[in-house]
Amino acid sequence: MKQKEKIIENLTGELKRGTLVLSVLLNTDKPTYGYSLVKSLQDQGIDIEQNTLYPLLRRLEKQDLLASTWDTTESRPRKYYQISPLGQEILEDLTKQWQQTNDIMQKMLRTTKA
Amino acid sequence: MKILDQYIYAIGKKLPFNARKEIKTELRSLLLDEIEAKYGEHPSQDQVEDAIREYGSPREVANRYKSSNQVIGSQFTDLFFFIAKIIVFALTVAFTVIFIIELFTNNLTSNDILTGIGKILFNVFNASFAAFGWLTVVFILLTRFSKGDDFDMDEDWSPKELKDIQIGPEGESKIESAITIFFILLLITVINVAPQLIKVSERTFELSGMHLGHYVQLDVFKSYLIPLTIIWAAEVVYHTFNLFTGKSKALAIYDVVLEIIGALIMLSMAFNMALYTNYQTILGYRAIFMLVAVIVCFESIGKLFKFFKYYVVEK
Repeated sequence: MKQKEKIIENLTGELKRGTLVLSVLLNTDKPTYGYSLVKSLQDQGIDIEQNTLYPLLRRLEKQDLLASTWDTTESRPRKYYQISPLGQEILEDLTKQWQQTNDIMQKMLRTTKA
Repeated sequence: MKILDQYIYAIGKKLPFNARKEIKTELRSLLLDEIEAKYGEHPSQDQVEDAIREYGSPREVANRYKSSNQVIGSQFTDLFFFIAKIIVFALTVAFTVIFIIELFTNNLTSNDILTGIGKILFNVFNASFAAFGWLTVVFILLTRFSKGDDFDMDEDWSPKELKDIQIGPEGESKIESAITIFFILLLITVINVAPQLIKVSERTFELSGMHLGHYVQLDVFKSYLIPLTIIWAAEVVYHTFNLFTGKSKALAIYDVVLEIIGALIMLSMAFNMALYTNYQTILGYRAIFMLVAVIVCFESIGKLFKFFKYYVVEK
């Protein structure tokens, strides 16, 4: 049983990892900082850990999908991320891909159930 | 919070140099946000430690910020091993050639020859390790400064390259052929330059305390050198073709014919009593020649059977 649970855990993780970038791009339309983004995603049901999200934000910034600014006015400096124009274009394409994939999977699931 | 500063410092030491300062500043801010959200503005030492523990060890955290944790990029793995094989092959050829030149230019004793053969293996082994070290350094630098997935060994591959592949029984592996070529060339050289080594080995055997049942007649043995050299040279040709073109029907026929001729030569050596002196028992080189003859006979039958199966019946 333990092995089955481990397999499910790994495969579920892979499934979730595939939707992470889309989730982040969808939730950075307004400037947001790392911790706040984690909480927002978790509140919406996306189970993500801080130590996974923060390097992802950095990677997306390197790919020019996110733009960042430092806010040094508060008690400690905070880095705010927001989707860039390139990120918007990519988001539109990713959204279409996601919808297509979702439709295909829904069809397959209906066929299997039948 | 000293422990938090120490944690950030430890992570920072493992981060890439150019991004270190910014990542550390951001991490500090993020961790403080988390600790405050969970434990308030004045957390205890234990609470901070719990938060840090949950976040991960400095090495784990730093690795997540690296684009790749591989010493040598996976896109270079095949090329790395390909070049490593070439290095070993080239070193083997180089040291063998040096030995052969020494054999022809210096008056080497039988002991020198045996030591020389051992030295080839030792030198190849030693030099290979040094070469692998340099190869690894080059590939680490290549991985570090390349742009990730740029390199593709099969970028220009096309299905047209498949047309020369012949489907048939599995031939010898390329490594097997390369090793066989090396040993056959060595054997041809040694046996022709120093056939008296066979007597040296007989004396060495007797010095170990065992009594030989016969001795090889060196003059008669020398008459076999030409047919043996021809058949071994023909085997080198076979393995060279196997190395570069792979197995084909023509090569399979060539292989079968070689095996049969080889078997006949070994049988001749096993049953030609003029080859042996002071004959009392089979214990000695005759036993070895008989054993080799039996093995080669069985191999010939096996190869003949495979040939008929794959190239005659199934065709």
